[in-house]
Amino acid sequence: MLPDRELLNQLEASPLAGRSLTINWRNDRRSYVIIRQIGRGQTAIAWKIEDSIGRAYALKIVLKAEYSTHSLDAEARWASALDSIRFARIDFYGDVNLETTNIDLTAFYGVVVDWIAGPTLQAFIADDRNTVDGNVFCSLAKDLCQVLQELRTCNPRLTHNDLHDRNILIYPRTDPLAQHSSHHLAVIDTGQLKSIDRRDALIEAWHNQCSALEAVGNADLSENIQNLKRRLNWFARTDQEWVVCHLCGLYNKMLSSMSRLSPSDKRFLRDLPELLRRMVDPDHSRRIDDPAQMYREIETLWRDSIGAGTAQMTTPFDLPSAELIRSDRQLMTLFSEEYPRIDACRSSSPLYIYGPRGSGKSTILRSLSIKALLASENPKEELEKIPFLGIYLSSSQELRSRFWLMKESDFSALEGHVVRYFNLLLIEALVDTFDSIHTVATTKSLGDAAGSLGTMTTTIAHECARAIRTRLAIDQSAIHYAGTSELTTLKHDIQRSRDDLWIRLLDKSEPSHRPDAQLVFDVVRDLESAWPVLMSRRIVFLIDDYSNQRIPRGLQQRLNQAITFSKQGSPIFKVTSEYDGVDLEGVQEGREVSEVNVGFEYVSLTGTRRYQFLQNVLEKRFEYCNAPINLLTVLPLSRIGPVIPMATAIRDSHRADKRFYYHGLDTISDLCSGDFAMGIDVVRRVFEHASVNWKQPRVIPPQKQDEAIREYAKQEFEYIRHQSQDGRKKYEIADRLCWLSKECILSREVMKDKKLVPLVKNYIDVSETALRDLEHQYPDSAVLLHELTRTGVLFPIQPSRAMEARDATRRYMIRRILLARYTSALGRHRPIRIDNVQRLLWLLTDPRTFVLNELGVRSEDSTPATAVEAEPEANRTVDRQKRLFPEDEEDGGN
Amino acid sequence: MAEIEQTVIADIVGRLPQLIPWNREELLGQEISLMIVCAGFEERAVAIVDEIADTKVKHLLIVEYPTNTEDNASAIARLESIPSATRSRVKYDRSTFLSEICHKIEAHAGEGEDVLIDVSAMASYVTSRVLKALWDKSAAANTRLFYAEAREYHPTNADWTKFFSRVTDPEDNLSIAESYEATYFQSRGVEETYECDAFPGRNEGPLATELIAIPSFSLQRVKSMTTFAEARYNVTQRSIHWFLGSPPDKVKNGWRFDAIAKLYNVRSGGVSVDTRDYRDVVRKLDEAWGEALRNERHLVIAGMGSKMQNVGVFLFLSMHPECGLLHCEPKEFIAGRYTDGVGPKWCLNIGRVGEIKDLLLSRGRLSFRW
Repeated sequence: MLPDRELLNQLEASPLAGRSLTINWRNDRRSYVIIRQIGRGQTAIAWKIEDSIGRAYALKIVLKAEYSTHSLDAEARWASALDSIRFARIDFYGDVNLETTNIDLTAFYGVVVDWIAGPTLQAFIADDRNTVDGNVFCSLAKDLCQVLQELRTCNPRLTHNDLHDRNILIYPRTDPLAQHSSHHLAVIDTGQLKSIDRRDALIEAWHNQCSALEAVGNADLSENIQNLKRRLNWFARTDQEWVVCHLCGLYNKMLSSMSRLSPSDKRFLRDLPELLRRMVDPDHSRRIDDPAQMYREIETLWRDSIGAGTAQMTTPFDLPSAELIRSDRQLMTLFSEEYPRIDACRSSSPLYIYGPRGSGKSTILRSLSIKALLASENPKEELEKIPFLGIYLSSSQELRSRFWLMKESDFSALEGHVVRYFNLLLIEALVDTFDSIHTVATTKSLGDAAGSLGTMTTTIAHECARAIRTRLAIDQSAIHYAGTSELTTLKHDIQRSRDDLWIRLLDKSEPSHRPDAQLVFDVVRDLESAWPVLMSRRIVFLIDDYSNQRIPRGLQQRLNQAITFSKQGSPIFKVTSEYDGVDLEGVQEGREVSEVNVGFEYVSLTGTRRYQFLQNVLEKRFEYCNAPINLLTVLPLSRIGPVIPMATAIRDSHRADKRFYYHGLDTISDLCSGDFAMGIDVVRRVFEHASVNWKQPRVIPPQKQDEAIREYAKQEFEYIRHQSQDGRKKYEIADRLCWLSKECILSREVMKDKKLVPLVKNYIDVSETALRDLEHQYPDSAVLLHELTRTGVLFPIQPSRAMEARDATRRYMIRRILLARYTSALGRHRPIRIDNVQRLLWLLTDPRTFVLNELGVRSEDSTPATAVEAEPEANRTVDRQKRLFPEDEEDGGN
Repeated sequence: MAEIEQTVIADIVGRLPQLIPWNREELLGQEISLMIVCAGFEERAVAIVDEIADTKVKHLLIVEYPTNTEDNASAIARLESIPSATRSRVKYDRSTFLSEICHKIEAHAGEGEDVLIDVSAMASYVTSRVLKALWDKSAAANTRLFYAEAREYHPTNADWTKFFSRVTDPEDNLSIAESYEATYFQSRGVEETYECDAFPGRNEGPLATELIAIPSFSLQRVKSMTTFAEARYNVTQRSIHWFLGSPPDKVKNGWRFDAIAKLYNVRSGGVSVDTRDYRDVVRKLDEAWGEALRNERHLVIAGMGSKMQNVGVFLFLSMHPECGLLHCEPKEFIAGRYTDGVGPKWCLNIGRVGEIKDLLLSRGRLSFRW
């Protein structure tokens, strides 16, 4: 028979808070005061109580009738055998007397247990504010497995037998020295604690009772049978099954925030279900149920999840751009020291780095970050090269997608939010970096190689976290889980704060405060106090892709408030953008910044060994894939100079009715216009087109190289044509300029060194006056010109922005890969001069007639070539051109 | 015996409501708290007017397009004739539409109230935001979608045959584009290509991105999205997965599948996706997501498919919000070369939004059973 639990209901209804009670057991007697009720289960009610000196306990009041299967003494004896912080300890127990009341408690026992302040596992999982990632999962899994292990290693072997999620509490613990808190897990309610043998005997007995009752076949007994079955169903559950059940709950919790998880976490989530299934495998020989093994398997899975993905290159041509390379270690291994202007980038000065798309700006910026340096093969050596503490942040990740739809007026109205959002991004990246340093310092994984960074002790990490929480007004009381870092928790809290802010931005709820652009400066100042190493190794924010090609111009202008290019500033900023990507207006000390045009050396085509950077980048990749190579044995140099020699070769081939082949690593490098990501891709296509296995490379014939290059050029044209803004117009301008370039080579000559050589016209000199007038008088066309440079169809070829300003002329060259479609030379020779706005407008609005006119213009000493007269010849050799523009044949004859 | 079960996509798709023929009787005498319609130029844009003639509407919300103002004028007038206690109009503007529609839905679709959305004339960039607003602001509302197919879709088979016979090099994308754009099927030009504010995606890692293109006959817009993906996420041609629409009426419209494949030069690897059964796109996108999870790739969707495919894409993104969505708005739709007439009418009874949300979020969840 089940006990009469109605008595519990009556007790629960009684107002007991504030009353005194005593617990008596044999000759011992203790007094307490009831504070409040904290829970109600099927068999008991729990209150928070305090003893005479104010120590808190949990008091469980349970019907004596519940102890039909075991004694209170036995429970206490078993519980005391569990000498572990994973179980709430029974402090005292016995008969209960309530003072100054006539409530009869003789039917109850009172069990006084250690007070554990914290939510139940059930409440923890239900609370949306809590997040579980791989670290937290492992930490809590470890505690759960410890619980199992404790029970198993007792003599006799014990079972808790009621390990549901309301009997597990999550509680914080503070390290008295480091003053930081962490979460742990403890099991409460040992009311069903018993030996395994006892449990098995009970189960068997209930089974027998049930069978006997069912055999009687009396309908009056059906309720008893049902109760017995319920009891059997519940208590037949093993502790190990309960633990696996909770692991499933934690998995589900983690899954609920999957969209925000890191790749490591996702990998872990992806593979975890299979492991959990094996923990309850019906085949006992396959089942993983030993607690130590359970945890070991989970930990191994997590470690593998973290470690995986560091060598995910299946060919040397994978991951052509830095943003695709996840692992810092991989990035550093692939990094080429041949990078242009590397010393300037490594100085402590503020810097504005710009260059064409794919020129490696992101690679160099990431290679300066502390996270990358720590991940490198030789961190000590790398750390010595960089005198600052670099924190990398990619603007394209969190700024690009979110803000572009906002209107200019929104940026003004929501400026406070926008600036804070950016500050939070910076600080989040800073915390993430500090977390990496802290991990290295506390695990001593790098030994002495970490140098001064090794002083980031847990105490300093705590001080840094506290300083940041104070500045950001983020809850100081937040605590983290055992085995995880306080900085990780802080990072999650900042993310949450940023997400909240984003909702306010979406709702357009105007900020009540003015923008605090100084927030990040204040944080850095506080951190310098908390961690003096920062006084000598200053914090430098490395903001990648800070281009108005990526983020709206209006947004950039607002964010500029939070940036300084002051040499004495703290922090210091280094930013990258594509050409013309940063409006420095509003940046503090913006005019003082040093500029580095990384692409210039490779765009100007003046250095004799300029192909070496691409060669080095590729050879490092082959080496990384265990296939070292001398690329020049596969793509031997053509040794055809990019201007007159190439133009002459093209013309001669044409006259001989032969095809000119673009080939050689030098030519491929020149075709890239500084876009080395494209260089990698072109070489890949060449290998594929020639069916050459990169593991067993052999020389690739020029013809095959040429075919792959021309196919690439065609796709580039397709790409331009379908760009969303004025793609068709851009396509026509590019197409006609390439056509002109080829036509000049075939049909016009100039005197050079007393010799007639083909005329090469593939760049434009535009006067500043024409550009200014275009802006004022024809803003739509000015936008088109800007778009042409923004998207890399035309690229500036002055060494710096300062030179542009001084020269009073802007020089733009057509993207070189496009020239391959019509077969033209790649270097610069004679410009297409545009001195007034009307000519510029002509090019932008009617490129067909513009180039025909330009072809007819007798510039300087040029003359029609004797052999080909003045008839446009490009059409003769470019079949595609004939088909696409049949009318050109008529026009060209005029 | 304890066991662990994982909710797989089949469990979810199997519980998603089916598209059923519209039955006007079902709404007789009922009260719709909020009805959202879109004033497009297609004939089917106003097909709903007669279908709810005997139903009370508390608030009517008409979404207007900024393009084709003259073409759409008659639809606005016709939709305005729906009797309703109150009404409002929202002019679509990509930078404000999501927040505007959120406010409207919050104001008019409370707990247990009925919402009716006509997706027949809704562009993909409207559907995703309307449904997102409903999801976020009115989980307790009961929702029905109305969908009227068109009788004929452009280009017609004859148009297509005529066009394709003139393409000189069918395997050359530039050649196809040159010829095709001159035909101006469906729409003209590209106003803007962008990441949807409702689903910007989240590429933690970051991981390499793959694009799922669900193309239509609007070649310029689809190409604009693939180009955008290349520029923004370094998506190479090899990383584009083509989900080609497979019309349910194979005899009449089956040729469209092959035509789309030819138009985009998809010679292998194209995935056939039903244009009417929205659950098919949910299932197939989820398969692609699973593959991306295994290969550690980030997914972005360029959705230009059918109306019901747009609904499916939305449901998929609700399940996997880390994936991004691209939109492309044209400068102008070509009213005379879009669709003709009104075809079969359908109802999708979503029911309580919160329940569908929970169902979708259960993807991958583990259930422990004793």
